[in-house]
Amino acid sequence: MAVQARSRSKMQAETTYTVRDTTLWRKRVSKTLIYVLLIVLALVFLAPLLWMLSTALKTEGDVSLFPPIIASNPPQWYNFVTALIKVPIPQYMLNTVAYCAATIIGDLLSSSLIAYAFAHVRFRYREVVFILVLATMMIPYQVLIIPQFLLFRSLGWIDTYLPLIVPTYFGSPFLIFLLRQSFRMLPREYIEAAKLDGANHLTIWWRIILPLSKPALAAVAIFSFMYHWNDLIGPLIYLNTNEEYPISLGLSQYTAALGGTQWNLLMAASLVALIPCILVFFFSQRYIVQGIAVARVTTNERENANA
Amino acid sequence: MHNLLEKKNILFTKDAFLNILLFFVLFSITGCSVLGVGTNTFKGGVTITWLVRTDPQINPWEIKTVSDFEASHPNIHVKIVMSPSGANYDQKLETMEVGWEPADIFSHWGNNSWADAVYRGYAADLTPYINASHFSFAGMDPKLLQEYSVKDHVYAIPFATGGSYLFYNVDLFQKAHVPLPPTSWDDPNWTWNTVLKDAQALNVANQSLNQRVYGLSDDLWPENANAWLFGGDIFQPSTYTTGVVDTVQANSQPVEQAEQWKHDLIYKYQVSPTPTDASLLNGFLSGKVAMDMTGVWGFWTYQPASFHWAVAPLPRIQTDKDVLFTDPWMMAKDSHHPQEAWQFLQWLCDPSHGAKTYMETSGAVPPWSQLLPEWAANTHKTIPSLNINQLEQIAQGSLAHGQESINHLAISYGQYNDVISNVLSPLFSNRGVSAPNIINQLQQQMEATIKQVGPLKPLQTSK
Amino acid sequence: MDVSNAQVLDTSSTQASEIRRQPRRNRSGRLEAREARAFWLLISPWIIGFIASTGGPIIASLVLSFTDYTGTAQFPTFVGLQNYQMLSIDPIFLKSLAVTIYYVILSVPLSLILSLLLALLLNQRVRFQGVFRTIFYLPSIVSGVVISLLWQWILNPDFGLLNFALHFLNIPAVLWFQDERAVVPAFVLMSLWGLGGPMVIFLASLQGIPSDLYEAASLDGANNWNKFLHITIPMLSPAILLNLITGVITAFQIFVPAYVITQGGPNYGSEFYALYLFNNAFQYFKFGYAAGQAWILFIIILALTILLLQLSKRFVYYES
Repeated sequence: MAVQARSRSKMQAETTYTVRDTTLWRKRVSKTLIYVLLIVLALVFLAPLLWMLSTALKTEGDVSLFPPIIASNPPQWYNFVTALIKVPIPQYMLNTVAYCAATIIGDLLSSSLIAYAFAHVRFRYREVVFILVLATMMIPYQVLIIPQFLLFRSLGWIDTYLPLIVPTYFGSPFLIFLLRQSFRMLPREYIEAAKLDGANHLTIWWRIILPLSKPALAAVAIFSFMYHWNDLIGPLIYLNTNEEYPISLGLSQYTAALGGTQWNLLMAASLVALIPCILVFFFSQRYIVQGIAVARVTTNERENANA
Repeated sequence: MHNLLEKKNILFTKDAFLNILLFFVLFSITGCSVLGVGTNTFKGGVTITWLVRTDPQINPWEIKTVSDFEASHPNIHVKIVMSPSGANYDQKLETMEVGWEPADIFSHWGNNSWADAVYRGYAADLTPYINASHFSFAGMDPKLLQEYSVKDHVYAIPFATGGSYLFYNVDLFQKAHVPLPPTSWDDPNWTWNTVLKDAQALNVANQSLNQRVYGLSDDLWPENANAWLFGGDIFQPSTYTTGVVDTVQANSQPVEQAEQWKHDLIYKYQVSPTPTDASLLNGFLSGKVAMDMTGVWGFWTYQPASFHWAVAPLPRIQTDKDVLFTDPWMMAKDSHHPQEAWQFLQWLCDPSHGAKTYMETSGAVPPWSQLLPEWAANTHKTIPSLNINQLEQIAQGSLAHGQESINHLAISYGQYNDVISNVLSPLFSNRGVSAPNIINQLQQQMEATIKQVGPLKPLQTSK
Repeated sequence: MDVSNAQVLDTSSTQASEIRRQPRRNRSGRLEAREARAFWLLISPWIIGFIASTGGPIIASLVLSFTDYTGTAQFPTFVGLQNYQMLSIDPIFLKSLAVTIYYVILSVPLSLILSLLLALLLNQRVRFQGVFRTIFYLPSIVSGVVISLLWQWILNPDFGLLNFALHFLNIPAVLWFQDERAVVPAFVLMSLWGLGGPMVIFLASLQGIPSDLYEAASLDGANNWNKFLHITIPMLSPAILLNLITGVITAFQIFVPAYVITQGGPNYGSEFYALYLFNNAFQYFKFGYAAGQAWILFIIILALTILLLQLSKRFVYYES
C-alpha cells in the first residue's frame, strides 16, 4: 500500500520533481521537439496571412511584378486606411457583428436543446429522427436557393436579415450532431441523480449538461461565428440594400472581372476583417481546456459505485 | 450532488448573464442598421433597382450617376444592388426574377449571354419606348444596334464597345530595337510573319523565370477568335443572328490550324508562356510579356502598369477579323415600373450623360462616333506614345473589322464555353498533344452538348 | 412536468441500479410515454423549422426534379423520369461522380488523421498554446479566393514550392492543376489547410477525457502508444464519428475551389459533382436536371451515413 502510494505520487507530481535524470532528459527532449514541430507548422499555416500582408503593402502596379517582391518600397501601410474608406468596411463589419451575435445565440440555445433530446431522452425512434436531421445536410444547397427564396418572399422577409437569422433558432444539423456527440460523453450518473432529485429535462439541460459542456459549446460558438461571418451566398440572395451588407459582400466589392480586382486593397481589407474572427477564436478556445473538476468527480463516483 | 448543482448554477448564471447582456447591447446598438431601421427611406415617388457588378473602379461612377439622375428626376429613386460578376451575378439576377421583383436595369455581367436574357424572358422589348421618347441613335454604328435586336426590335442599347487588340510593351520594344507596330488595320506589312519575327526578336529564352521574356501571348477570347484569324469559325454564321447553336464545325481546317498555331507558339516557337506560367505571371502586367493579344479590357486593366505600353491592331493571318465586346443596358420585361426604368435607361445610354461619363471613367470605347475624339484624347494620357489620330484609327478600325462575340449572341453559350476550354486545355498544357486529335474530340463533345441543351427556337420578339 | 412519478421512485436510496432491477410494467410504460412527450417537446424547434423553412424547399426540389424547370419565371412542365434517364447516360455526370468519389476517398481519411494529430499536438501543455491554436485554425477561415490563389503558386509545376521539394527528393515534377490525373490530389492538398475545423472538434473532445484514466493506465505499466490506442481513441470515437460523417457529407459537396481555379478542367478532371450541379442550375438553365442530380447525391450520402452510423454502434464508445 505504502509503496503504491509513493509511486502514484511520483507519477502525479510535476516533471521537475522526478528524481531520475534520464526521465527528465527524455521529457525535455520531447518538449523541445514539440516546440520545434509547433513552430514549423505554425509558419506553414501562417503562410496565407503573410502572403496577404505582403500583397497589402504593395502599390497596384507592384502586385503583378515578377519575380514577386515582399512589399513595395516604401511599404504602403496607407493601403489599410484607403481600404477601410473606399468601401465602407467598418460599417459592414458592424453589421456582421450584430448579425453573428444574433445567430450565435440562436445556434447555442436551439442546437443544444435539440442535441440534448437526441443524447439523453429515451425514445424508440430517436435514431430515425436523428438521421432525418442529418439528411437535411445532404441536399446540395444550390437547388434549395430558389424554393427557399420564394418561401421567404411570401413572408415578406426579403431585403432583411431575417431569413438568415431566424432559422438558426430552429437548430442547425451540424451543430446538433456535434453537441449530441459531446453530450453523450457525459456520464449518465449525473442525469440519473438529477432526475431522482426531481429535475425535469429543461433543468437538467440548463443546470447540468450546459455547464459541463463548455468546450463543446465553445466549439459551437466558433463554428457558428465563422460560418455566418464568411457566408456570401445567403446575404447575396436575400439582401438588396447596400448599407445593410455584411463584410463578406463588402470585401467582394474590391473584386472585378477581367483583371480589375484591386488586390492590394482587397488583401488589406481582408486582413482587417479577420481581426474579429481571430479575437472570437482566441477567446473561445480558452474554454477548450481540461475540466479538472469533472474528471476527478467522475472517477470518484465510479470508484464509490464499484466499492 | 446538490452542492454540485448549486455551485455550477451560480457560476454559470453569472457568466451567462454577462455574456447575454453583452450580446444584447451589441445587438441593440447595431441591430437598427441590420433590420433597416433608420436607413434613408425614400418618401413618395418610385424606386427602381439597378443590378450592377462589383468593380472598385466603376462603382463610384454608378453612385455618382444615380445622384446626378435623381437630381434631375426627383420622383424616381434608383437603388443600386451590387453583386460580384460571373456566376454570382447570374444567381442574383435569376433569384430576383423568380421572386417577382426583377432587377429593373441590368446587363450581361454574368456568364449568360444577351441571347439568354431575351430567350428566357428577362429582357424587355425597348422599341415602343424608343419610339415614344424619340430616342435618337444618330452617331451609333448601326451594326452594334442590329446585333442586339431581334427582327428590328431593340432588346438592349449599347453603352460601351471595343474590339480585340495587340497590346505591346514599348520599353521592351525599344530595348530590343524592334520597330513599333502600326496603327492602321489595313497596313499590308502587319502580318503574321512580321509579328512572329518581332516576337522571336523580343523573346529571351532562359531557364530562370526572372530573366525570361516572352515575345507574344495569345489571350484572345473566346476561343473561336483564333479560328476567325484563320478565316473560319467553330460556330455557324446563322448562330450570330438566331442565337441557336444547331451545328458546329470544330473539326474544320481553319479551326485545326488555329489551335495548332496556338500550341506551336508555346512549344515550337517558344515565344508564349505555358498556361501554368501564365497564371503565375499574371500576364502582361508583370512586364515579362512583350506582346499580348486580348480584348478591349486591356485598356483599363493595364493602366496601373509600371512600364510604357501601347496598342496595335491584330496581325493579319488569313484575316484580321477581331472580336467585338459591346456592353448594353437592358430593362426587365416584368418590371413593376417600366416607364421610370426606361427614363433611367435612356439617361444611361445618352451620349451626353451616362455613355459619356462611363467612357471617361472606364476608358472603354464609346459606341457613339461623336464621343470618339474625347475618348482618344483621354486614352492618349495613358498611352502617350500614340497620338489622338492614331488612337482613333485603331478604335475605328477595330469596329469596322470586327464582329460581335459569340458569347453575347448565342443561347446557352456558357455551356459550350465550358466544353471548349475543358477539351482544349490538354493541347496547351502538354507538349506532346497535337491539334487534329483534340479537335475531333471537341467536335464530338460539342455535338453531344448540342443534344443536351436540347432543341431551341430561334430568337423571337416577345408579345 | 409531472413530479409524482419521481417522488414514487425516490422512496429508497439514490442508486439508479436498484430501480432498474425491479421494472414495473405500467410504470415503465408511462415512463416511456412521458419520455416520448418530452422528446418531441424538446426537439419541437427543429420540427417547426423543418416544416416551415427546410422541408418545403426540399420537397419542392424533389418535385422539380421531375420537371423541365429552367430556373426562370417560365412555368415548368412535368417530364417524369426523363431527367434521371438522361443523367444515367450523361458522360459528364458520370465523370463528375467518379471525380468526386475519388476526392472523398483521398481527402476524408487524410483529414481525419492529420486533424487528430494536430489536435494532439495542440493539447500539449506549452506556452502560447492559445496563440498556436489560433494560428493553426486561421487558414480555414481565410477567404477561398485567397487560398486558391496561394495554392496556384505553391502547386505551380515550374516554380512552385511543392515541386521544388519533390525535385529535392528526386521525384519527377507533377503538373498538379494542369494535369487531369493530378488535379484531384492537388485539391486534396489544398483542403488540408481547412484542418482547423475538425481539429477544434478533436480538441474539445480531448478535454472530456479524464486525466485519471491515463494515470491509472500508467500505474498498470502502459506506455504512450497503449494509452493512445486504448484510452484516447475510444474516448475520442464519438468525435471521430462526427468528423467522419460530416467530412463525407461536405467532401461530396466540394465546389468553391474548383469553381475559382480550374472551372472543372483540365478535361473535366476536376468537374466535381456540386460544380456540375451548380452549372446546370444557374448557368445552363436546367434547374430540373440539377434537382435530379441533387437527389441522386442525397441518396448516395444518406446510404453511406446510415452505413457509418450502423457500424458506429460497434466501434463508438459513449460514456453514457
